[in-house]
Amino acid sequence: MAKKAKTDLAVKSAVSPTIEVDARIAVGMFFTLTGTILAAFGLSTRDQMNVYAKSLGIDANLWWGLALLVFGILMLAFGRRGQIKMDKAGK
Amino acid sequence: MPILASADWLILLIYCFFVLSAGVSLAPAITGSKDYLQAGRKLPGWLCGLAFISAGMGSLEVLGMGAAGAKYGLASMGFFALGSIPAMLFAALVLMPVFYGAVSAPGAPVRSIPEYLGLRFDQKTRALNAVLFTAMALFSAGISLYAMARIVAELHVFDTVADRLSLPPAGALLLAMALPAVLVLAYVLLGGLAAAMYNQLLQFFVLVAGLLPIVLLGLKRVGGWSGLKAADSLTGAAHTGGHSMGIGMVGLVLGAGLVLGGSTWCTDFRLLQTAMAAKNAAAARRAPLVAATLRIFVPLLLVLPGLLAVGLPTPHTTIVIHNENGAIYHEITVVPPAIEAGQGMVPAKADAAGQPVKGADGKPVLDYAMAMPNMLLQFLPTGLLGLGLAALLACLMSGVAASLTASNTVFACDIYQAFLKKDASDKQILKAGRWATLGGILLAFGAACAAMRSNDLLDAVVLVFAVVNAPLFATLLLGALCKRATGHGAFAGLIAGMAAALLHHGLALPRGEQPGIHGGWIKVLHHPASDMALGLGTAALAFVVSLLVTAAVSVCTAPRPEGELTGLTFRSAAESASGAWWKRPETVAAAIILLAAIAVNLVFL
Repeated sequence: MAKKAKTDLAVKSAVSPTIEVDARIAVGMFFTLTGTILAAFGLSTRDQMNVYAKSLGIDANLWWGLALLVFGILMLAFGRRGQIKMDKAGK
Repeated sequence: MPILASADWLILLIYCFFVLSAGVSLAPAITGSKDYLQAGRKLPGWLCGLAFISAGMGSLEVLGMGAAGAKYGLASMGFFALGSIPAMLFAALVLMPVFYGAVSAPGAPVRSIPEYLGLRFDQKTRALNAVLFTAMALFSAGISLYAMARIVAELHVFDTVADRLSLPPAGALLLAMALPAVLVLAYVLLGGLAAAMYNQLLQFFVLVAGLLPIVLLGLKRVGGWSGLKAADSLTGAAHTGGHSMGIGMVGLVLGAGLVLGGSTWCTDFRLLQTAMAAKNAAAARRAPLVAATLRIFVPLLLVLPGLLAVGLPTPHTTIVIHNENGAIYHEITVVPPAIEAGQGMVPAKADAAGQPVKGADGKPVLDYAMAMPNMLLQFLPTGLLGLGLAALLACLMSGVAASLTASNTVFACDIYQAFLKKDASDKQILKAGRWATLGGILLAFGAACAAMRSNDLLDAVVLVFAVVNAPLFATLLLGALCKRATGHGAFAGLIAGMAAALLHHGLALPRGEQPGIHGGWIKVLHHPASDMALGLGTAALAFVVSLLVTAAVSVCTAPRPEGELTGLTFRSAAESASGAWWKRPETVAAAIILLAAIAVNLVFL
């Protein structure tokens, strides 16, 4: 999903250079990516208690990663909708 | 010694990649000076609002809020709310319509605060403010670079990198200042204000994502609400009695609410530039409202970590003996004396030998700025730690970028075009803006290196702010609200306000400080209760003197004909808008935000 949004953006800016890019897309891409990495890392280290002694025995990577992933996907969804609206208004 | 694992590095690098890509992807869209200096005036209100609040959360502010939480406790929450939200609402309702709507010629809206001053008053006021503002913005950008680099060096997280490159400690510090500076330079040079603001949006969310876990984990660790109250009783509030900053209620409301808040959120072009890049007047008014709504919750994110740091147990050198397969192990955790002498996770300041620095009362002097960063190391596991460090990097970059974009606009419009080359073409202004960006970061870096040599410069930021911004707030207030204020009045008021601020700072010294950068460099006449009280007093005096002198000189000089002031004062700007001001939706929104802010703060009192 993140990749597709990026290519769309690249194509758009090549056709007509404009400042009117919905900023939420980049935010969504960043948090989808980091959320996935954190959650995957948390999943693979969930049995290593020494990693999570700091965070009071909670697998903070997994849970916070999932929360960021959800936030990222929401931002991507809103951003794409906003971008479509903006393009229509531009034409 | 904490070592960053590859998961931390990966997240840090991804963040840097996104920050740079904003600059690269916007670069082709920058074709004229309006695109570069004002983001084309095409951005939606919510984006401007997020950039507005993010620009006001540079490294000095973020570290300062954590430090205030550790030093003054819960009382500082109300202080920060009072110092921001009323001023932001005032900016939204009264000042933004004037600043955004003012035009220098048909179709040429005002690009900066000095340009507004030039239109409303005269060219000498504009020139004075343009020069002072540029100097202040670049100086504080440099100081914030150094402040964050010092913290990062104290955390020792990048020591393995410095060792591998076999850098001396000073070299590692220099690298920690240079890398963020180069990143910011790259994206501001490429994408201008638009890139800075797109990144400020990302920076706001990264700050929340990196710091919210330490608040949640910290609260769980100290045992929730009761633990928070217990931590609060360990802060300065318990020792001094009454209000912990030593400022009376009236002083707090007038000083923080009116002067400090007003000269930040209503005056500082580093913040106002984001709202002035909005696509229309409604969006420009909405930006401070969006920012104020979020600002209600910012102290929860930034003050609480500092406060919680005080409530945690102080680390001590421990020896754990354990028996494994018949062999006896002595596990010794050595804690440096400066950390042992601290309070909770707030270490004492260390001298060159690593021993704690003692104050005049024999107690160790605490390094409050370390409170929040230490919490990152305390609670964030490998992986999240990368995101936490990205949050520190984010607040540093958003503040430095705001200074850089503001000073390049002021240089290009109000120094280059206004005085050096009056017939400059748009291409030349764009070029001047880009060169100003490069020159600006070099000057800021020079200030950072100077601060590295003499630590005292860190405390000079408050003074510089009081000298430049507090008198300007009075000027802008009179300029926007009162059509009788004149150019000679404004100029005299600014000069008098600055002189009053310097004089007050030179004659007062907080208790327990040495004369010098903390004050009292002329002669010590009175002793304010704290650094915070001195800063507030200096700013308040500068504001009042500037207000009075501007009014007095304006009355004695000839007024501008009313026709020339169309669109430059609140009344003439409001005439063109529809409906009475108290019926408009933004007024209702402002009232709701104010009530919500009061409710949130009452919970913590």
